[in-house]
Amino acid sequence: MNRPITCENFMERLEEMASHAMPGEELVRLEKHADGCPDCAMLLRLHVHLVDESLADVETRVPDALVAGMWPRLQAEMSGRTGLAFSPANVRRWQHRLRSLLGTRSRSPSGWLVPALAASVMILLIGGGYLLGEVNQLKQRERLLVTSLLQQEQMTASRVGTWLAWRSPAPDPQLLSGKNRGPAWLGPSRMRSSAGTGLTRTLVGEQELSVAQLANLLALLPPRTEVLGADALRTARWQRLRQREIQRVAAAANIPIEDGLQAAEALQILETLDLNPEQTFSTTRLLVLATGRSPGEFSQASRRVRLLGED
Amino acid sequence: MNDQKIDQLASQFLAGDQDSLRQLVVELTRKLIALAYRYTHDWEIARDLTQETWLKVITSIQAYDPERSFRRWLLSIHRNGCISHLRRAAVKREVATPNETLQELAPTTSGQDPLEDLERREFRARLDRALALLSESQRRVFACVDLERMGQAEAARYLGMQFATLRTTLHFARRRLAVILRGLEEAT
Repeated sequence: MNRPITCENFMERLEEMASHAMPGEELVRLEKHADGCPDCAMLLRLHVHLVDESLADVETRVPDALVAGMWPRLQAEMSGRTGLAFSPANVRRWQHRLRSLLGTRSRSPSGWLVPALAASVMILLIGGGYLLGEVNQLKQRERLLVTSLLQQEQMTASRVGTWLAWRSPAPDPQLLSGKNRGPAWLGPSRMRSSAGTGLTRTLVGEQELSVAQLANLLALLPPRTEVLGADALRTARWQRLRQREIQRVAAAANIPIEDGLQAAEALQILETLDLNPEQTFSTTRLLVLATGRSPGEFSQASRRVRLLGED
Repeated sequence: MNDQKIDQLASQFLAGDQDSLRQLVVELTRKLIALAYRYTHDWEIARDLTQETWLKVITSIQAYDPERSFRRWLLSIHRNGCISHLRRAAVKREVATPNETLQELAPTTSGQDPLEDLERREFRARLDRALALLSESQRRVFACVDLERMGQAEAARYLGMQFATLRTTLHFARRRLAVILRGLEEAT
């Protein structure tokens, strides 16, 4: 005699069932289970929705215009972006120019960028090291919270949309070169949606900096830009800041950090930490930590940024 | 074009040959758009994600190790971009000009029942919202196995997970998605 189908059995046979590769009698039993189990019925709908075509099928349906248009689009993006053809040699030249801009006067907002990044990466390293052992528990709590919210509050679709809205605009890479207009070279328009002075304002303490913003910024920097020097890691100041946690995170990401930390390595560490992208931290504290100046010194820069933003 | 030829082109681009990049773009763009379409079900967003991937490749080609497979490196960057898109999926999509949209969608929607098509789009929108609620590891596993149709063993290798861990994560991801989808459907 056949045993009743459980949700576990149902999920194991899901793919076979959704792709119509199951014998009739078995199918009837599973469908009977789905009739009485709304979650399994939804899983089946989800799989039917997903297995309708293979990747190879999709490849044949890709509109030729999209494929043919890619190279011209890339050329247009890159020429708008740098004014140069984009051979690696020219990209290196562009990176060098960017680095020299980043390294200029320390009192300008763009001059604070690297130290501020260094401090933010350091904060994340320390916090991340501490959290590494706690992440699973946090995720479990988050899961319970989300399920509970959805089941008990019956959120409307619009409220869910608002709740989930990605409120962290991408940082504006033009700011790296001291300009305040939206970057024409970033391509997809949603990447250009940030206010012209978003990042600078963030860094002078008017807003908070989120993990997502930091990750976006790191991704936009040339990968070998040093965001944290070896000296910083060696100073007594950093030593006091939980050196053990820093080492733990670096080891988890398999990155040696004794010789400093580059943008690509910092990004890899961020991905390893798997933090909530909307997690924010105070930029005033960040700047005080990064520059060693008092919070009051940022007010003048803040006014200046506002004026630039009105241009 | 075989992998050896692709790696050769990548090495030439690394050395400064712009035409090699053009050949790589011509050769691999179709696959990248198709992969992104599996994630987004939207040709325009798939094209934008592919363009972002190529821009990342261009600006970080110095990080490419010519001893390794370029195709894998490229797909890894692209997949990360697609998964990041899922995380942002609740954001309202910016719509291109109507003519362009219709023109590009024409080959895919012709011959389909409009009601069925609408229902699929609504389901897809709910799925995007639901995916944004998964944890990062659940989203990655679900994306590899259920969106890309990667085998579970292959996905475990790609994600650097134990096979058993992947199966468990996949189980919870699917279960959670079902609960969230039901909640969203009832709410509408």
